[in-house]
Amino acid sequence: MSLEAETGTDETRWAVGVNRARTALGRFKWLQDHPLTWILPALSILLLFRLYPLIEVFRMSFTDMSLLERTYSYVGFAQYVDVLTAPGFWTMARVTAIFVAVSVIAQLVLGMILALAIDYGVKEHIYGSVSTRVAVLSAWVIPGIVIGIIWQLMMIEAPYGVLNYFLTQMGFGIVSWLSDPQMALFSVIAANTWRGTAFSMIMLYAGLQQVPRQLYAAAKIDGASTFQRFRHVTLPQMKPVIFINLVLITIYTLNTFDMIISLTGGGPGRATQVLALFMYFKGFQSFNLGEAAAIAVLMLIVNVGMTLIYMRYLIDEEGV
Amino acid sequence: MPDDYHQSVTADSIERRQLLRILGVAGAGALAGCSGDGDGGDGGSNGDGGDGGSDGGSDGGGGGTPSGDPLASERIGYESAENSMNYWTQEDFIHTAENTNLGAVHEELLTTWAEEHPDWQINVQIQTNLEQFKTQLLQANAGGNAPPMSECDSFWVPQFYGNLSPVDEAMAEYDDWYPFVENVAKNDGSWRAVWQNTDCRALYYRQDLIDEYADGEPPRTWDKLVSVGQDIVDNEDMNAYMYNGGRWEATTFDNLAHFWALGGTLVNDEGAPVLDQEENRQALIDVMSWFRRTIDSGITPQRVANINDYAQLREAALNDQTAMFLGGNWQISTMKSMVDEEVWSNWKVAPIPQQSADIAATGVGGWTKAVFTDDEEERQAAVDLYSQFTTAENMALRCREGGFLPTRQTVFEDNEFFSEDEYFQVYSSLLENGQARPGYPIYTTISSEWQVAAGKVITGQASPEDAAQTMINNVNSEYDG
Repeated sequence: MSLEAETGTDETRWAVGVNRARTALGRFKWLQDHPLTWILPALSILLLFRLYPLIEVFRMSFTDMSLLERTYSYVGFAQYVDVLTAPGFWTMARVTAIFVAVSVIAQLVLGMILALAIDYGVKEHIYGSVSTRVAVLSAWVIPGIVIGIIWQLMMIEAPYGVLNYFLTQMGFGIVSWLSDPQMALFSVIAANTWRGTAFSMIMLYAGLQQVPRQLYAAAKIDGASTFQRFRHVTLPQMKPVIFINLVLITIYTLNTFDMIISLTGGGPGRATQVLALFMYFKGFQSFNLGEAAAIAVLMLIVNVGMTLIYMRYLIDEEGV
Repeated sequence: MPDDYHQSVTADSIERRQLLRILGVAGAGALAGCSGDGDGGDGGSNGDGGDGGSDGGSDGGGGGTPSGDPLASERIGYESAENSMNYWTQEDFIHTAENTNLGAVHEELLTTWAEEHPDWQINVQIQTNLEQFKTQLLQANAGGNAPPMSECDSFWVPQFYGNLSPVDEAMAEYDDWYPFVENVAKNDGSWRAVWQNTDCRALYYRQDLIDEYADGEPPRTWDKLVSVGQDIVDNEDMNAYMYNGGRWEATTFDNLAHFWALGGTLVNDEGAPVLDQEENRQALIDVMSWFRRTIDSGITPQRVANINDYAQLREAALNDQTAMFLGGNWQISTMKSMVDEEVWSNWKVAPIPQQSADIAATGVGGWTKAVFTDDEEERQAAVDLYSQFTTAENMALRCREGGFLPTRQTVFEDNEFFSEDEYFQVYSSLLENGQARPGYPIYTTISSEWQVAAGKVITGQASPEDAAQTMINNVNSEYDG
């Protein structure tokens, strides 16, 4: 075989080079066109920062891991048994259920009222609609710890406390906002509702923008009253948004502990100690990571359960 | 469960726990920062707990004649020194203290040490979050990599007994330590920590009201406090007595004085809870009954169930909302800085009223200095530095500028600043009956359950007997696992 045949002519080499380039380009185009290429970065981040910690929490919940010990053992379901039989667990579960249920309902109702009001204000060009929206939203961006402190200052049970000052000026007595067990739970719910209503409002306001205006016009022609238009046009059209909103505010509320720790610390007694706070105490006061992880898993199960219930009632077979 | 079902932790799982710890530090740091009261003592502050690890080895510096400055922002000793070790401390305890007068005192002490030890330099690692500092030290110690030198909350010293090297040279020379210092810092005949300053709890009272309703004598017993308090409530538009009753550590620590004075004990020498022993159970019930009595008698408002900050007590005092309160020694200096002399000088301190006048106790805290290294050269260098803090003259200087309480009785007696100050003289008498919290892991559960029980009794959710019994059951249940 001649040397030329072995190494190829310039044309041959050129052709091989072009072919290789085409192949590479083809692969690049395949990569470019394939959805996996674009999903991969987000997928990697989700796997690393979402899925892996989740798996770790499940694994930890089956161990006796402590922040103060170098070693740990797998203990099966012992941590779950400890949690479920812990002193005051069912009291905390009851407090959590009341806190979540009332907060979620209040956030949804108030959020809807605010969204409708702002939607109306924007459509009618009423002065202050946008600034109202901004003001309400500001409650959502304030950290929970700060919200707890703000409300604690407002609720000081002395004549110089903000709320009690106004009440005494109006001739009422001083209210035990935070030292009466029932009032303390009410106060925590009120503070959490104040914080979460803004998020609800912005979600529902966005949903309102998706409702076709001609449906309202048609309903109006048919003689539907304002309430009937809301009941038969707005609500059915907003089901998906209400579902997403309900799921998110339920999760946010169930996981709330920062605001409560600065507002009441879970007291008086255990009157406002929710499961998220219990988990924090177990993890970072008792340093018992295994038990804290078990509480986290139980809360996850509750969250998933609530989501399924919402789906059952709000999402029909067509997905709307 | 089969043996192979158990698994020892591996290197990578330590990494995971470290990651969790960092996240915890971040979260808890934010919480502690927002709940700090600004009064000192038990308040927290934001920030990271500093890095872990220790070295204790040699850096191979220049040696020979020292050069440069003996102190730098994160160094004690000359840069040219050939030996180095790490020191976990707080800014208030070194030359960079925010309080510049205190910093100047430290500068002098540390410079003296540096000049006497030209071959040693100490790498200062500032810990800014006190709660996380404790946790980190516990973790480092559990992992066998505690720093050679560290500050150590007096409350945690017993937990570390087995790992602390003797510091006798800094402590044994003196015989005027308050009893509580020896009880905590001495173990197996050897001093294990240098307790250079402390704090305590006391009854704060308004002199003008006590003059009017108690002939100038602050109440020494619960009965007297109730009778005087009711007179004040009936005739003045204010509460008579307030204390920490919310869900935080001071609710336990402040009021443990009653329990200790009654002869109560929380744990035995092995760190096991002993609340179910009859005398301890009765002491606990008596304290819980006292909480209830303060509410029922009307001298204390139920709102103390939500007081979780010393600042709230101070505000109530300065707003004419209370005639007396159970507070910390540091609060008088805060009050001095906030109001004019006519107001603060009307507030005096006295021993905490107890069930009877012949018993007394107060909770004491404060930080100690400890040595975690077994290396004799390192230990000696560290103890030499700590010795700077225990001489009467230096202790007086530090405590005067820092607003601390000395741990040596003669400092209160011989130093004019302390001997001529009526507040310090009261604190001095209180310290004779000082008690530190037991430094065992179960204490966090005891404290948490105490707070819950106190809250339930104060708000009428449970009777004193039921609350005490529930607390005992819960503590035992947690300890038994």
